[in-house]
Amino acid sequence: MTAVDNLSDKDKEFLAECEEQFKDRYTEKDEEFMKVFNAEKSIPPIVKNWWVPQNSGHRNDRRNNRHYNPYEQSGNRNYDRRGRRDYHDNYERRGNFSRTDNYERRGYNDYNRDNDNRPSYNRPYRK
Amino acid sequence: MSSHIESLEASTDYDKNNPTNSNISAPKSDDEDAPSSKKIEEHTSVVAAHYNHLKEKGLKERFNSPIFYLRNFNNWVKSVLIQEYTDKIREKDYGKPLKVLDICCGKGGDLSKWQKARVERVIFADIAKVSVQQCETRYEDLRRRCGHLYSAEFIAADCTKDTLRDKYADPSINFDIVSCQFGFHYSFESLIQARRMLTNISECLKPDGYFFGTIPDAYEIVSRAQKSQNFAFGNRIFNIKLLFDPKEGYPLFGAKYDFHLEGVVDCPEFLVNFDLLVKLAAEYGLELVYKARFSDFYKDHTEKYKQLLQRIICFESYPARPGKELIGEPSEYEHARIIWDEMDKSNTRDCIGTMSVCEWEVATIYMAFAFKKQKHVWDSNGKPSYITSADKK
Repeated sequence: MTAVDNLSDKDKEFLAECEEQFKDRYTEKDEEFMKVFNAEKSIPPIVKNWWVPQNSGHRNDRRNNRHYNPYEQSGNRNYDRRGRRDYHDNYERRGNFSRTDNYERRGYNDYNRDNDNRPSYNRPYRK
Repeated sequence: MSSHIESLEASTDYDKNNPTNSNISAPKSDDEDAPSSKKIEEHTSVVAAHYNHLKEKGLKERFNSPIFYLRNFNNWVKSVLIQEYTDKIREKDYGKPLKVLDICCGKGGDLSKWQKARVERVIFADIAKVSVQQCETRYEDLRRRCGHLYSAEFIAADCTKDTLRDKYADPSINFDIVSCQFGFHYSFESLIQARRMLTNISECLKPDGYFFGTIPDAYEIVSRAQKSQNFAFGNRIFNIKLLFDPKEGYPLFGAKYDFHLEGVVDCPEFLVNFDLLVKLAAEYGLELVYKARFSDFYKDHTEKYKQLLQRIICFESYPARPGKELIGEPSEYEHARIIWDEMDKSNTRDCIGTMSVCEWEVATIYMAFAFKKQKHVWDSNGKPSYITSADKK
């Protein structure tokens, strides 16, 4: 597969050296590989007290963790622009929360998922 | 370049916020680069064509995706990487305006992550022209919505063959960070391409700057392949098949396999023997500072970034909420059922956050890594001689 013919002498040398150095790759003699090969199958993470915002989603997670997350809006006081915006956002949110505003407000959108954004497998309540 | 996952992620990012622009934002799949010298051209065009032709998917389709949580989880990994390494740079120089190369950017799945990281400038590069155009459109859209945004540049080029530096508006630019998410492995079609890719990554990266990314872990793939029949394995959402005969050995470059991921990517990729990458990267002054398979990456960062996990909905509520169903079959949640059965359920609102086994099987194929650019001195031949941390000791 490799276009060996096009290789410079230096690269041919490099490849030869690698073939030697990594000759045991993906075999029982490859220690690192065998660690993976023999590892128990990874079990999906479990997070207790998992809470996904139901309707007015972010209200909750946002307020509770302000100082935790570097991504948190209100955590970034140092950046004026952002700080001001956040303040405004929060203020606004408490009053008339409107989703449109929310979308347009800033680039946080990717993380601001309302329930609406969740997989809509079965959402009878939305009819 | 950005491959599957990015698709995964990208999707997370934008679209949901911007339903009105679902045509633009749907970062479903991504693009990537492809490689090689002769036949390579063929492969390159296959890859580019693949991503160029991916239809933008509507919101509804996206949220019905069987890999919804996987995607979000991949976004979490990328967000964490971006945050961690921009923080590291800022530890030394707080107000530093950061310049970034997002190589294999796809449709721009990380556009808003860079915004959150408050970088100053980002150059986005990808092999698929259509993806780069979408990336630019999404950037413009984001800028309209948020007013202030980092400056950006968009380059459609095969990063495994072209010299990116020639295409920068300012070829003297130096990056603090180079990020390659779910795309670097395409360069391992051949040594020549891997070298070109590493040159593009390293040549404008400042000393002490970081190159980080995510790729499928060859050990994980090969080990699962060896345990399978016909070197093929998968589940309801993905399939991988080695396209060479392992009995004749594993090529260092061009170790091709087919990767099919539900609704996202169906495209040949190449194993990256990580030790080989480390050896090769050293020639470009890149020294490994971190690597972890996603399962370990999660453990390493879950405490610090727990809120982000929740916010971007990386996990599925178990048991299913009233009126809803789990995304996978009940058998895919045995691990959660056992915990759930043992739990004190006095608080009726409590539930578990988890992922279906099928999605997790995909997530755990990947690994994250970070390299640090070493300082150098010039040798008598005018070549850079890099100073590794071992030298310093």
